[in-house]
Amino acid sequence: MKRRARGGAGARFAELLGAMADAAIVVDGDGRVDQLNAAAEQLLGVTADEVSGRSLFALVSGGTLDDLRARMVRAGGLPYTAHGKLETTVSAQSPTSLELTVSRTNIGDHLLVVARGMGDADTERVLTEERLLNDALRRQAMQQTAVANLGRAALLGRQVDDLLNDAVTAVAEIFEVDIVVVLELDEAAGAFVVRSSQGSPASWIGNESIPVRDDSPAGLTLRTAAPVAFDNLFDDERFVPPPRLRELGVVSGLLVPIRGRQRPYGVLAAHSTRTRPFSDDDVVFLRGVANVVAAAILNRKAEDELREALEKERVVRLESESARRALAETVARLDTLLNHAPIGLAFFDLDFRFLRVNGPLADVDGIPVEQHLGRTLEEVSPNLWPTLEPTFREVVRTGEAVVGIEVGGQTKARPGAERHFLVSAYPVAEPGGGLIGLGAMVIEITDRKRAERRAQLVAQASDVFSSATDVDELLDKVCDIVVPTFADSCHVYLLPTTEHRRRFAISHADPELREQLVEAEHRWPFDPSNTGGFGSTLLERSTLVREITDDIRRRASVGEEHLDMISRHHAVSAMAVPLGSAGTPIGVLLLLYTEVSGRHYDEADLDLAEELGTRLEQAIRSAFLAAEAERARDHLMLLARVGELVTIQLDSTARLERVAHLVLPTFADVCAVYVREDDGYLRLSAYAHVEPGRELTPDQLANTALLGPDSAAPPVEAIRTGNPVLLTTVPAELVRALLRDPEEQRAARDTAIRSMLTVPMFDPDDGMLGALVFGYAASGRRYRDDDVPVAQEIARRVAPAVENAIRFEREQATAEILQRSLLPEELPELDHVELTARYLPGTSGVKIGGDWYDVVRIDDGRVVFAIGDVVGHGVRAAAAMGKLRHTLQFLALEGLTPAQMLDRLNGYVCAAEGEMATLLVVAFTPATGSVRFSSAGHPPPLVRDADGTLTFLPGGRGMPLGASGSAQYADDHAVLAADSVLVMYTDGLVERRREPLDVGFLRLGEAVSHAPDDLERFADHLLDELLEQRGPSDDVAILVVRPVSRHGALELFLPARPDELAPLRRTLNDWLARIGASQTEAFEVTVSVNEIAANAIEHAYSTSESLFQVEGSFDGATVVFTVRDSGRWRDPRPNGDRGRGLEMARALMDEVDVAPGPEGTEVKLRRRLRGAARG
Amino acid sequence: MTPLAEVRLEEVNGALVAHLAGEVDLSNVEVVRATIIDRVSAETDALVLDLSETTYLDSTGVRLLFELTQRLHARRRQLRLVVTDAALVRRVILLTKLDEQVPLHDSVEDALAALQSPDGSDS
Repeated sequence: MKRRARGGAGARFAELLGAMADAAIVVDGDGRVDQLNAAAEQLLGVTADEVSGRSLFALVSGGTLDDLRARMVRAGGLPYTAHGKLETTVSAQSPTSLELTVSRTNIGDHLLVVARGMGDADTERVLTEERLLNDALRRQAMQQTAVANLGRAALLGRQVDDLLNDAVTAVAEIFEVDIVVVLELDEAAGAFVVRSSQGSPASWIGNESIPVRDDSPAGLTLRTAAPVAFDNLFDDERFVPPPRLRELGVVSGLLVPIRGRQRPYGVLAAHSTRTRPFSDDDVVFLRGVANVVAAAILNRKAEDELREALEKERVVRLESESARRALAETVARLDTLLNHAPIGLAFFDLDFRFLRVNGPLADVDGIPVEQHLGRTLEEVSPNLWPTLEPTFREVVRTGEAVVGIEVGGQTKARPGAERHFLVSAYPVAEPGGGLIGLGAMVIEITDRKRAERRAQLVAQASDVFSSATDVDELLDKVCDIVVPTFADSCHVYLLPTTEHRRRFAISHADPELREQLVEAEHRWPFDPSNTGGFGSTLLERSTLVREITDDIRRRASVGEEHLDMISRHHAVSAMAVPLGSAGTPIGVLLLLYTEVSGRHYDEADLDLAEELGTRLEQAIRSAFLAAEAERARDHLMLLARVGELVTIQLDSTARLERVAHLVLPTFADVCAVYVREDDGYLRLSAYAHVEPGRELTPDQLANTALLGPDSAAPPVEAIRTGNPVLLTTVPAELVRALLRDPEEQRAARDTAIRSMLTVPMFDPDDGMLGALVFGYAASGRRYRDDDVPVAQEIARRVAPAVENAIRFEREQATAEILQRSLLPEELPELDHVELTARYLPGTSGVKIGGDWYDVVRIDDGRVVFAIGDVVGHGVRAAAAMGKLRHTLQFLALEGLTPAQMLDRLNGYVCAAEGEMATLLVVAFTPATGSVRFSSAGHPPPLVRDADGTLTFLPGGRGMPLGASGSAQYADDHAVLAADSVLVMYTDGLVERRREPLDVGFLRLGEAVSHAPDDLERFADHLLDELLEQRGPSDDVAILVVRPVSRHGALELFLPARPDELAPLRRTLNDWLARIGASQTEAFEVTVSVNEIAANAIEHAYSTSESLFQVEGSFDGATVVFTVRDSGRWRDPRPNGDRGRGLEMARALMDEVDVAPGPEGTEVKLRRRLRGAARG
Repeated sequence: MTPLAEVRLEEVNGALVAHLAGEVDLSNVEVVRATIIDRVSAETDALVLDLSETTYLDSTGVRLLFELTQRLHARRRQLRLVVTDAALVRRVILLTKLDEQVPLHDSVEDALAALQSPDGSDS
């Protein structure tokens, strides 16, 4: 292809051009042809050379080429198309119409034109299309312009109503329709309201309400929220033509919804009275208008709201401004008032910041007025705020004043001092009624409070002092009422005296610290001679230490540890007041403030402390006196009880035990009773200890070593001197000195007696009976001088009981000995006469009575029997009896008759003014069987013949001995045949209280008639039948005699008397020797039999003159002994040594069989004799 | 009548020697006891009972010996018995095991000598 030569780019472009199938022409900015390719040459019918440099428009013209030209000049961006007619200068084959497409190139301002030929028909069509398109474009441009205008108007703030009018006008103009309406939706009414319209009656606007119907175009639009178009209202199955539309002659229309914020605002409707189709562009346009309208409406709404909010804000701002102004005015008015008032006044805002404060109140706080302002009450007065805060808040809340709140605490103006104020708070309101602040009035009432507190404290103290009876309780209570109102820590110390021990009480607001202080007191007891260098002045006068310094603390301590303790107490201020008159104070009252409260004492406080001290001292003295009185009362009661006790009938040991326990714990913690034995040794007879675990058992009591007369123990000393021994304190050395035995020392230490008082027990007749020892142990009490008389009085009251007991026991011993010696030692062996006797003493009192019996053998073979009853009991009766007996023996041997003997005896008894007695004397001649008898008031003897006939012998009765000096006595006679039994007895056998004597005699007869033959059994039978099981209250003696011939090997009936043992031994020895036993065997057998015999005697001892039987037999190898006793087991001797005898018998014999039976015990002893084999 | 037993007392070097001749049984044991006890005073250091002439002694007498033992020991005094080997009463004493509480000696001299040394032996 032909072209002008160009640079590189141009060369490449030329290549491209050449390759293109379409006709392509390159023109410069002026429209001059620069290049063209072969296809273009062909289309245009020219060659490149012909047209190069010539204007394209010379070739092509017409159509829209003018535009093209203009555009080309403008050199716009995108490719565009134009049509034009080709000039005839080209060949006839060239088409007459061309379509040219122009686009830029990247070669300067050159353009590329691509041409295409078109036929005529095409050209026509194209032109029409162009025209239509242009029309459409023109319409579109108008629409867009209209929408843009509306939008601009809306932005510029055109009123909505005006805007709506503009909108309907624009739509009507652009659509070229008759009727355009804006329908606003009234949702509540379910209807449209015409807001703006063109082409409908003006009266509709704002008035006409059109119901929303689903079958109307507007209803459909609303419902679908989408555009609705119709060509023919009457031929559209969607609708029923609404009346108004019909009225207006509407045929076609287009409607779009107008959006709202949450729901549609309404509908924009364009109606035509002809069939006018609406295109998509129309819809777009109408929608655009509707959007502008919607935006404008929304905008208007937002604007309205904003305006409202702004309005409100403006109002509020105005109101608060007015309130502040009112406050400031009020405050200014109060200023004058404040500064002239004599009391503290302050004014606060609702945050409780000081707005105003006057001089007086500022002084209280201790900071200048200016420095109050703007600060809260809490900042300025932190100590008082906690009390005031609730009140202030209440005032604010209720709007009511609160009057008279008491506030107390320390202030910054005067630290350490406790001050009190009376505060009233009241609300302050502005004229309109709203609360704007708080006012307060403050009056200082410190002095008044102090006086009040003083009175209160004194009243409390008086209460305590008058109600407390115990000193310890008193001290504790005082400390309690003083803390914490008047002190943080309170100490009371009482000095020790001889009568009262050291005491103290401590209280502290902090219980733990109190414990420590109490412990410290135990370790370092308060010593007034060494307290902070004050020395004795602490006891002389009251002392105020306003500020406690380290120096003072150091001087008050007794060592580093103590100083440390004191320092931990953190006491900062103190007062000390002596209790009691100067010179003889009984103690000290110490009051302290510590860091806890930080308060300090002043002179006014000291006055109050002194008053407390005075009252306390009085109360203490009263309490001591009361305690003394009670103690004295207790002692008196104790003495009364001791006195009572001693009269009670108890055996002596039990009585002593009772006394020892009675004095506990009133008068002792430990009590011991010592009884003096014959040799001067002291035996511990009773012992009581207040702690149950420390009592002594009877065994321990019995095994306690006796105190020797040379011992240094207080009881021995008391007895030796006859004076009490008071040991206020018992030193340990004394214990060691008294008791040599370590066991006993330990025991003494265990009882831990701290104080001991010993008094002797003394009887005018019997001298020293023993000693009473009282001791205080764990209770910590001590004996004092005024305890001694009490102890002595106790001893005096107890002594008779002890003495009685001793005497009684002695008498018992004596009587026992007497008894054994006064009754016959043995019943004599009588040829051809069996004899047995029984004696039972009465159960009351001393075991010896006045009954007695005797058997006197006379040389000529006669026997004199006597049985009698001396009036009375005890030793006197026994002695009288003895005398009678011996006299009778003498008289009998003289050969007097029974009556003569009685006569003589009566004379003696009357002359000696001795005890009266009954007596029966029987003289018996065995050879003849004759009996001569006489009775001095004694019950008649009874005879049972061999055939069983019973006969009482009532004859020969005379008066009892000693009844009358002129009594007459007579003899009577009887005969006692062989094998008949004579029974003599005393009235104890037949007499029973509340029973006639005759009954007793009958009973006796009954018993005798049924009694067995064996004399021993006979006697036992009588006792069994006639006596109560437990024995007679009166003595009983029986003497039973039977004349009979003796037969048998060794057969002995012996009275159960110890004196029978020796003769028995002799008889045994003789008999054993005769049967051939060796000396050793004889000894051993004798011992064994003797043991059993002694058993028998012991069984019978104190019961009777019973007999026991010893039988012996020998079969040439074995000797057999049988010992039978009829002993009744009564009052066994306390010692168990009799068992030893039986053991011994068993050891010495081959066999010993003990067979107890209802009528007595039978013991059989066997032994093989070897000696016999030898001999 | 002649007494069943006789008690002869003498003091030797602070010790009381009681010579018991005769028989001791239930009938006279109290009298024997009283006789001896009466002579035992606070000054008596020890008691020597001479049973070499005692012809009869049974459990009754032994009971007395036991009692004397307890009494003297309570007062921290010594008691010793003199019993010859051949004596019949020795058998009784051994049977009752009295020798376990009271040392036996052959003669009064032996007993007295043993009193001098604190751990006197019984011969």
